[in-house]
Amino acid sequence: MIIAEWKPLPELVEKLKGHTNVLVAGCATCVAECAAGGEREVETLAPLLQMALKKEGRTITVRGRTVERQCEWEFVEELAELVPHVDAIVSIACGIGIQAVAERFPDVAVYPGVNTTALAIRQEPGIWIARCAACGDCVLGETFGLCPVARCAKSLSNGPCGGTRKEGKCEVDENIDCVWFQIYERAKARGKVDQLLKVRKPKNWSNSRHGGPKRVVREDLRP
Amino acid sequence: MKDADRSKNTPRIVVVYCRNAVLSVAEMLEGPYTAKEFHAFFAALPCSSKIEPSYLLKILADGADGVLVVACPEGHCRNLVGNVRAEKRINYARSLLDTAGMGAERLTLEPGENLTGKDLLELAQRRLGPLQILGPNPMGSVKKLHKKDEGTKLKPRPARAVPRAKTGRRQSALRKKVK
Repeated sequence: MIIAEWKPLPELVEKLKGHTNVLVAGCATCVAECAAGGEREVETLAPLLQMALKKEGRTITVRGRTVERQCEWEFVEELAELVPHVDAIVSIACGIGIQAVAERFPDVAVYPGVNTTALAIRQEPGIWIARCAACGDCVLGETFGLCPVARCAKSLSNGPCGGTRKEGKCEVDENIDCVWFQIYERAKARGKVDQLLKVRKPKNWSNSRHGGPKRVVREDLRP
Repeated sequence: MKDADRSKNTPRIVVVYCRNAVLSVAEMLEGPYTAKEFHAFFAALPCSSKIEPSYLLKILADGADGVLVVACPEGHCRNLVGNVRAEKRINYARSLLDTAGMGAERLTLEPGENLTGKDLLELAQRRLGPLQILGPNPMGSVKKLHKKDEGTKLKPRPARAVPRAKTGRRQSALRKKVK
């Protein structure tokens, strides 16, 4: 899932200067799973914003609405009935959803209420860990299903580096597992450590952000 | 909370309590109660773990001066860890209140067991000191503005200055076609 975190409240309060009717728009998919932008978070942020602004002497109307997916036009359309009544939208969907709302409603100020941070998995309740960097050249087949791009602090293709701690933790943070240590352990369990001796060539980064904005076209699906 | 229930400078305290933390007689305390020094509003929950930060913030945004959550003491929850979860959520909501400049002290958790209605009132009364330091809730005069879908009842803004995005219009047209 795409994960995100709330922006600091003072930053949002600052952005809403001059606005009197605000819509907090949530998304019930990825950001709801990571407890940043679902219905529950909309219901939390709306009164919180109202109180923070009132504390600064500003009275605004804050209403909330959560759509199933802010990254699909059909669902974004559900906001259309509310938008004529507001002068600003705080979207707490991921960056894709925020842009979709801004594109659909170009005459209303749209502010991000979250920072989109990663493609992650829920490791335990309340803990989300990045698993994919959307690099465009997947190497999971060579690294025993563990991504060194997203999970290694240095995104090393040929690891580990010299900074791995004794307990298999990363030198950057003792709470981060060294993914190359994990890759080695998994290779060892399968009796295929020799595969790791092969030097992996530089990845094709042109299929990632480095090749400009990504665009996928499937003619068979087009109208 | 209705304006009719308020008199100037009288703190309004909402007491949200776990049904398992009180004797059955205390369940009579639901709805408003007016004492000399404060107005109290009581709401029972099947377990304190049913509390959500959004509910607590809504209560404060609706003008309550303070919210008191009464849960079973640690180790005495019938649902094992309901009170522990409630405490975590309340701490989270308190941190949010602090960032909003409202003061975390507006929201507190008190453990209690076999409480009577009188006990609940006493617990509410104990909140008066900290709430008086914080002063009245600045939201006092505000009514439920964050209510869902309320926007549809308001006067719309003037017509759009910029035409709709092409994609959205196309999608609407497509949907009409399908119908």
